Amino acid sequence: MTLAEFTPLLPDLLLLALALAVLKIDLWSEDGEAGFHLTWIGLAGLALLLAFGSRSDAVFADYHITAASRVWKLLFTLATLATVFLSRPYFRAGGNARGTLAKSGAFFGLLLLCMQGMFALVSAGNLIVFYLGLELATMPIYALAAYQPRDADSAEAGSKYVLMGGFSSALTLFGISFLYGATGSLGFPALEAAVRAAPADPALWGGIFFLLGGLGFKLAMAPLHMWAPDVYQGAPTPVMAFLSVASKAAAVAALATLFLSPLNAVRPDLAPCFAAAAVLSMVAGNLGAMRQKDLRRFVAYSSVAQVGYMLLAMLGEGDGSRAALVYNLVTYGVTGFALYFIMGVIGKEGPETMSGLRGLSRRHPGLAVLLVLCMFSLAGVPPLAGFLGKFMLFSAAAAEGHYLLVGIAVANAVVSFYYYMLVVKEAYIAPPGEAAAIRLRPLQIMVLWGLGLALLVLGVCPAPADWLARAAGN
Amino acid sequence: MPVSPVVEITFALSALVILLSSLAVVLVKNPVRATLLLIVAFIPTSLVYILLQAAFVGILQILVYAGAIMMLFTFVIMMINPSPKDGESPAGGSEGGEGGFSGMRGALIGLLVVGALGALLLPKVYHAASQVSVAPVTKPGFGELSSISALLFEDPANNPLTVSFELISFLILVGIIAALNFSRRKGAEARMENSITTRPTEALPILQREALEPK
Amino acid sequence: MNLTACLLLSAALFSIGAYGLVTRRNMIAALMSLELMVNAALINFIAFARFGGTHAGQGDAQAGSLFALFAVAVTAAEMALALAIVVAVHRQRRHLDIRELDGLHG
Repeated sequence: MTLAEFTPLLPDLLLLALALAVLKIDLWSEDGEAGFHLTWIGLAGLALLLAFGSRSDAVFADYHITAASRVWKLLFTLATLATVFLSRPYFRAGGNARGTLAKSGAFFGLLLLCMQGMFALVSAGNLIVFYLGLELATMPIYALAAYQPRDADSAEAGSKYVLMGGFSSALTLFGISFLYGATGSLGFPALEAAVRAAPADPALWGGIFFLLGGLGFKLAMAPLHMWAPDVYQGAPTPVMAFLSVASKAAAVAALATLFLSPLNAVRPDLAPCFAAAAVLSMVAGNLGAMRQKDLRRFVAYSSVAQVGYMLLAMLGEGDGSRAALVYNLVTYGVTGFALYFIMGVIGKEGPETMSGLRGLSRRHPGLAVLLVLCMFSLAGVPPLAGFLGKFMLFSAAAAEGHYLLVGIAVANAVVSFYYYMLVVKEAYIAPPGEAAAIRLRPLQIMVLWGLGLALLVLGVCPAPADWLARAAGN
Repeated sequence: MPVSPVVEITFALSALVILLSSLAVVLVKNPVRATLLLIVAFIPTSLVYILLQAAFVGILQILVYAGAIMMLFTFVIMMINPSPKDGESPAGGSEGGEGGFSGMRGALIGLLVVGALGALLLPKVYHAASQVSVAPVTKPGFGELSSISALLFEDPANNPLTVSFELISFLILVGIIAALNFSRRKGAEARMENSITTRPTEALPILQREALEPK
Repeated sequence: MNLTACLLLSAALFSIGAYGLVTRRNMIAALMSLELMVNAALINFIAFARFGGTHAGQGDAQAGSLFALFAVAVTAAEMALALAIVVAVHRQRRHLDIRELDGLHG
């Protein structure tokens, strides 16, 4: 093997080197500054490499580097980069009212190792790599959810996530064992051939149902979503952000990797299953979000509803669905992170709850405007990013004739507008307590402007959507 | 080719022991006993693996599960000294109470869904399985260390398992980082607490009284 | 000993484990139930590897025992991490009762 053959593999190798370097540098630096700068510079470089680097596809021993996998990897990298920036004040003394996080090196190292698992997940060519990638993408988050030191809620979140995650990986493993029994092989090509040859094999269906159960837990898809509110609320906010964007994207990618390629032949038969889960998730998420006071818990329910919308795309055909999923995750990620940065700002003085938002319009008008944009985007109001993301999902499902389902989804989106407006009401109308003006750091201003512009641009300009659709379409 | 009656009887006995002892693991109140019963369940499991011509996995089952993981469980149980009120309430057993673990309720719902689907599907699976031949695999070295190591380590550049092998090492690295992270404490408070719990004269009676006594 | 018997054994083991995970209130006991569930999956893998599964034609018999091998390693790492979190919970709460972990609510 020559060096040139390794070029397509460069992002994955770079990530590995970065993770090890960050863990290593943590042993030498006391304050963790070096680790932070190394992480964000490395991730930014990785994002550039994935976006503009080698475009050639390659297969390294069942590790597939394809255009679609590069798009997913870019998504994971950007989400992790945003998480790293978001976590900045949380490691600073007095940066957050809940307490200061310690040991940033281990934190970033775990994030990067988690990313490595996500990379393996979308490059998997057999079920072993798939399963290991899924585990590696989940296990670091067990530790990260319990990361807040001397905080009983965080430890509780970690313990709940580890039990639920363990349950879900046992289900996944049991499902994979039946898939193996049904097809006699673990490679995706052999799996695809076997599924085509005998799509009604009972062992295959047993495997699919256990697998769907396991992935449903990871995805927080109703009725398997009950862990999400507790874990999101107890985990530190940066971890919650990672969980709701990167980890959710990884679970969606896992679903898409399996059900849009090797198991594509049975997907039409699974349509009622996906449809039921989609409707349940939308309804459970929207009903749950209405009565939440804690913002992290609110985000959890709102993300369950988003999963419901995303499941609609699993009903459409392969390429269009994959593009719609990626695009929706991008818009959701941008919107979500804008909200999480706002939570980080208000979390400096008070708790990250609805009442913490009170008087935001007077304390920092710009921030309040961004909050309104976020909420409109999450609700799917037309000129914003969230609208285009939802539109692509709905049209992917409508293209296959699931009009009733799209109708239900639109109705749910309208209902969700109500509780997103409750958040805006807190910021604008509710009487403020003490109205101390908020001061932002230069980094925060930069990131908030970037996310705000992205919210507008991604909703108006279809060019990035086209690019993603072409790249993710394989 | 029929399987010899010795194999049949060994399998049936192992299965019986596995099921009984794992039921006991789930039902018994004392966590130390549960750990020991779990080891009892793992040994016949490894026997089943050996009967199924997977000798290496069988040996690994003993080494890793019974040897390492259960040892870890025992260590943790000893370290945190669970009192009887930890976990199982002696009377009444399963009065749920409100405000409990909503995630567990979610798991219950999920379990019901999965169980209902499984109940529909599994009979068909077993019907299909009953038609599979029982001839032993005649491949030389099947399931043995030599053939497995050849599969794992031959031709690393093109071996489909290279990536998996690397991923396993990351998983273990994650375990190490996380365990270190949770066990490493700062400050004088931690040092004092450590010195107390590791003093043998104090630690031993507590262990004997609390953890080893049946309750 | 045939495939049906092995699958029945593993299904029973899986159900026992799932039952334990849902009903046990001690977190360590819940983790042990998880072990039982993973073991059920391993028995499945090895049985399918030995008997060749329900598919037509020649499968990859070694893949099953290899997957079992990897799954053992994954479980070991996962349990180490889970027990570390158990210790962290115990340090904060001084108990391990899952149903009394109710600090988080809406």
